[in-house]
This record gives sequence, C-alpha cells and structure tokens, in this order.
Amino acid sequence: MRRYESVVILNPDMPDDDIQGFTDRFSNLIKTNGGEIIKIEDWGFKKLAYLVEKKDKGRYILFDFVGMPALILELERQFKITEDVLKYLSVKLDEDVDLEAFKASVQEKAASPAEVTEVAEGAEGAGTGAEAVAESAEAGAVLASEAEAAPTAEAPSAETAPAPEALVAEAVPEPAAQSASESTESPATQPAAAETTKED
Amino acid sequence: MPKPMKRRPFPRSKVCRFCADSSIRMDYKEPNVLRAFITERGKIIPRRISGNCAKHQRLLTTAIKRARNIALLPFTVPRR
Repeated sequence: MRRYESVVILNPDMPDDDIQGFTDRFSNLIKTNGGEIIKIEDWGFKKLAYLVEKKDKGRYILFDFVGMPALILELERQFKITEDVLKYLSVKLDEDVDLEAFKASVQEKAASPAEVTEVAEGAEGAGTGAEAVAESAEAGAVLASEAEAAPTAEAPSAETAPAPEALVAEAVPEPAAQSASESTESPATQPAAAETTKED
Repeated sequence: MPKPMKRRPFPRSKVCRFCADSSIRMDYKEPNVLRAFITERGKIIPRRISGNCAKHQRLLTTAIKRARNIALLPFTVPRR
C-alpha cells in the first residue's frame, strides 16, 4: 500500500451540495478500489495563479488516502471525465504504508491535538521571517534581469551597487542607514551615465 | 577607458534557511513559503543567490514545480 495525496481544483461555480456529492463519490471510489481515506480537506476558494479553463478562481479539495497504484489510474481517469474538475495533481507521499500501523498512529495524533497546532504556529512565524530575507534576494534577481537587457559592461556595477544598500537598510534600523543608501546610490548611477555618453 | 571591476560576489545569505530552521515546512501546498524563492517573474531563484544547500534546493524545486501545476504559483508572470 502507498500513501497518496490528490489535490483537485473544482469549478468555482459549483454549488455546495455538488461539492458534497463530489467528495462522497470519490471517497466511495477510493474505498471500492481497495483504498482507505485518511482525510479530506476543503481549502475553499482560492485565486488561481493563472487562468484554468478561463477561470481565475477555483475550489480546492485535498484527498489524503492509502491505496494501490492501480487506484491512482482509476481515480485520475475519473477526474478527467468529470467536467467540474479543472485540474488535479496526485502525489505519492509514502511507499509501503502499513495500514493498521498507520491507523494506530493517526489515533494517537488525534489524542493530542494541542501539540499539532503548536507546531503549526511555529512554522508560520518562521515563514514570515524567511519571506523578509528573500525579498532582498528577489530584488537582486530583478535587477539582474534588468541588467541583461542593458547591452554593455556597466551592467555589473549598476547591478551590484544597489543591492547591498538594500541589505544595509534592512540590517541597520537607524536613520544613518537612509543617508548611507542615498550616498551610495548617486555614485553608482553617475559613472554609468558618464560611460554611456562617452560611447555615444 | 578602464573597465569596471570584475563582478563582486553577489550579496546572499550564506546559510541554507531550511537547514538553519527546521520548522519551515517546504511543501507544494504552502505557496507563501515557496514564493520567497521565486523571482517576481516566477523564476526559481538559483542556489548561488538564495544560499540553499543542494538537498534543500532540490526539494524546493520539486515543490515549486508541483505548486505551479495546481495553479498555486505562476509559471510565468507576464509583463512587468
């Protein structure tokens, strides 16, 4: 037995009753094909990152289940012929799941739900911290792509100069950081401008 | 005309963030975590810039690609 997870994007115009019917239908399908459902999550409506069948929103449903590989074939076949399914993704989480042992561990987890929520909160806090750091990296990357567009060799200097100042501004929360960033900015831009005129 | 100095090393975080903090969950279902590792245009940020270790970059890449597949992350972001 393997543990799988299928995320399905449903038509956002589907009424709630149909959603219920859909989940029932597919949980029955999993059971009749020798699988076992671990959980079904409804993530609600989410904005899609790109249009899928001309829709910009979708309803996400997650199936978490255990089953044989043949089950996935059948499940995906059914997803394909169901009109309301915009997109689906099945992921293998674990090979060789012992169903009995797994059920026991799930029950244990259910006994101590407080612990689980605590861990989740910690992860969220860390996530926001990570984002802040990555923003600077992102800014650098964008500059790099701009630099690609610029035809000549001044690209590296223009590219490397503004990025550190962003770091300084973030790292030092003092007014000095602002003036420093301003002062580093002007010399970086001037030589670049001067060089272009020479070449002309 | 003197050429500008050779490219200085790109400022980057030197430690893999996933190694430093094991509480960050890297999962295709969490687009907000993954979003930190793609550019505004939707490209995956290379390891040499993000500072991730090889192992985590590999996991991250699959996570981002999965998230793209179920429309949680964009493949591309058109225009600027």
